[in-house]
Amino acid sequence: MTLLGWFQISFFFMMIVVLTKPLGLYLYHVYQKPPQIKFFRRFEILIFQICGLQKQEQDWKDYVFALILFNIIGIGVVFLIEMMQNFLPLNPQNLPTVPWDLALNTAVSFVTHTNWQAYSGETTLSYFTQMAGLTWQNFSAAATGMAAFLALARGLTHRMNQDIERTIGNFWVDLIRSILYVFLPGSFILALIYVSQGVIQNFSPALDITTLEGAKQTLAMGPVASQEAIKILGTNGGGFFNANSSHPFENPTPLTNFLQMLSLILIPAALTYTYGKMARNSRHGWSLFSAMFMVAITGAVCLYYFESQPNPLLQNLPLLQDLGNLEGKEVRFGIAGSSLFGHLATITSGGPSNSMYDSFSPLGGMVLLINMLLGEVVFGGVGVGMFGMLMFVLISVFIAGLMVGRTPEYLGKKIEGKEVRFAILYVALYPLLILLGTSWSILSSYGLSSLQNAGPHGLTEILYAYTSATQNNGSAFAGLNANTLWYNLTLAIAMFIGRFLPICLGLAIAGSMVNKKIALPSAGTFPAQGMLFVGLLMAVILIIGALTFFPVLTLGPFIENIYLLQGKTF
Amino acid sequence: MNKEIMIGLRVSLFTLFLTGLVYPFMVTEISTLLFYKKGRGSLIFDEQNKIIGSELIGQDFKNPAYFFLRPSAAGKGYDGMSSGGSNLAPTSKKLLKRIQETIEKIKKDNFESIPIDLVTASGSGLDPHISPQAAYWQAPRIALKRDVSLKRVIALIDDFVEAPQFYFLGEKRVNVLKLNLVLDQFFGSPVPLP
Repeated sequence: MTLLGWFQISFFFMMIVVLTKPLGLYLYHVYQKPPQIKFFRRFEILIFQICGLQKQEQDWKDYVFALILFNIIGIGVVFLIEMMQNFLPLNPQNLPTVPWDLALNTAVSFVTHTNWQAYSGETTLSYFTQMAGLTWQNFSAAATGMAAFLALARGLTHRMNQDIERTIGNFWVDLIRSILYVFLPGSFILALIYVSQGVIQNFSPALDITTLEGAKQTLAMGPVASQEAIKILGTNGGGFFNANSSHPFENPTPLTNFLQMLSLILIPAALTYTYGKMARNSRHGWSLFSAMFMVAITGAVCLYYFESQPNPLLQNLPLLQDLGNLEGKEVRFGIAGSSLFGHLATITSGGPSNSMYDSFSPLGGMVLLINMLLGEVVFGGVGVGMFGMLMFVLISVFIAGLMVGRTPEYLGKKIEGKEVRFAILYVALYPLLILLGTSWSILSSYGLSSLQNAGPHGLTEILYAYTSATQNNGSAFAGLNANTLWYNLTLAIAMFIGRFLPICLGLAIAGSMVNKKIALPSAGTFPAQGMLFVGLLMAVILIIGALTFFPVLTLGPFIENIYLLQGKTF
Repeated sequence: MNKEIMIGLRVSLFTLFLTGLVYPFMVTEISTLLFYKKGRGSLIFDEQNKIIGSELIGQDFKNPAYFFLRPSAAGKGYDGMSSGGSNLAPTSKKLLKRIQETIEKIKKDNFESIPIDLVTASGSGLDPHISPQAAYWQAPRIALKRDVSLKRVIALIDDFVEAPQFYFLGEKRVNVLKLNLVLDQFFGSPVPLP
């Protein structure tokens, strides 16, 4: 650990605090009203006409239907593009069609915001597939997440007494506005900054070169910067290349590394403020922010500490280990830049990587795993992070209600049996999928044959894969060869259910909450802000996330760490 | 229902066109205009205008008269078409064996402890940098092989140590391809390996 490292980490977290309010305010204005500037208003109407949209409010069932419809079309189109890429333009390497199971896995993975990569970009996908297929879905999946959040937020915050509008909005409008006013301009600016630092953006075929020593080397090319920008800003995480953000053409300098980390977390953080404004209770927004912020900082500090430690197995060798655990990490980012990036990639549902998580120390890898197991709500993905957080808020309020013995209320609305049932189902779904997939895989020969690392680390590899897929994160302990029929199909199923079933449950709650009467707060009302609320919320998140998975974490990372200290190898 | 499906198709087509085609092409056009060299891969050319490599992508230096980079898990080593790390766990036998082999190969260069980056593989397998310690550690070998004074080699490395960006982002590092190019410029090309 170095002073410089600590400074980088603290500077980073300061920037989040500073930028949350301005960006949150901007997002609030984007979604609340039609644009104030006449040009944009006309432009928007034109686009709605092109899409055949008469702006109607949708009830929650129509909203869910539109959301799932759009995403299923997305899966179909991306799948077809992959299967036909040898007939499509912009394929200078003449890459063949993608095998069907890999194509399906990739299509589902990008549409569900997971961006799990069982393929390696350089040698599998043409430039056209990367752009029209994957870049498109990077935008669409991110915007879908925003829409899901907006619908739930409207359901919880609408006030019947004052507003005439009594539905949760229109999916198509939310989707298009997210792309037009948030992701497209943001990505455009970021892409240009990335190119200025050395991220490539061209359509030339791979370059065959003769190195200084006279050896042959082939350099992969492609339109990287445009995809890189939305990959990070939309917390998608699917890299252009196999090595993702550790590839020097994707992430060439410490500045691009810093901007990638910042743009990963900016929108999820800003949404806490946006939500506070929507709920007409900014302090509630800041309370949610503080809960997330505290968990996030704790994890970052632990991870930096674990990764800075030398590997005990190497202690008797003539090595100078003061730079820390550098296996799988890049020199330009160092331990601070790599561990902070890994932490942010897993607390948000982005899942990009600028280092190889499989080579992290056992406890460092466990921090990443816990980040995802907490439910991707500590900031989480764009939109879906806050979406999940609101589910935990409902559960916390419900538990508080049980403790005082009153019907729980949230923002003046009564929370009844139906909503609580849906919220509990929401949190129970993830462990079910993760543990089922993991156990089946470790009990079957086709599951185990993909392992690269033996011993407890192997268990962690499989657990990580199902966690990452179910939570739509997409990062990997990449030693596991996931490009087999078994993993391609089961992970695709996990991604699909893990994405859409929770959204359905959340929007059902939105539908039932939207028209509830507002009760005036009384002395017995549990306040949705302040330290008590933040503490309870954090406790609920940690108990559900950490305790559910405590047994399997003991068998994986914990035991591996003990073996490591004893000097046992596998 | 049917109407909704039509809307779905139209929105899909529109967003695909806008974000999948218009946006990447526009970024390409504008970035080519503004940052031509960087967008093409920060390539380095020799006098005959042939590409020697990219500033950003490491090369597999095997000749002991050049500074070595880190071990690479990309293909057979620094393969630009199969980027990736070793993905070996800290408790892996393979990792331990690989590190021991690397140490055996290079330890005769210098009897001081070897900086850790010289025996660990990077995440991309294409990392163009080593730490300043790792460069200084290799200086005696370079001086010996090229028959120049150790002082001159160290002075050269001093010039090539890049500070953290804006003094606080990232780590101190040395770009090995650039350094080796300058070695050749000052002291001539070495005898190629058989």
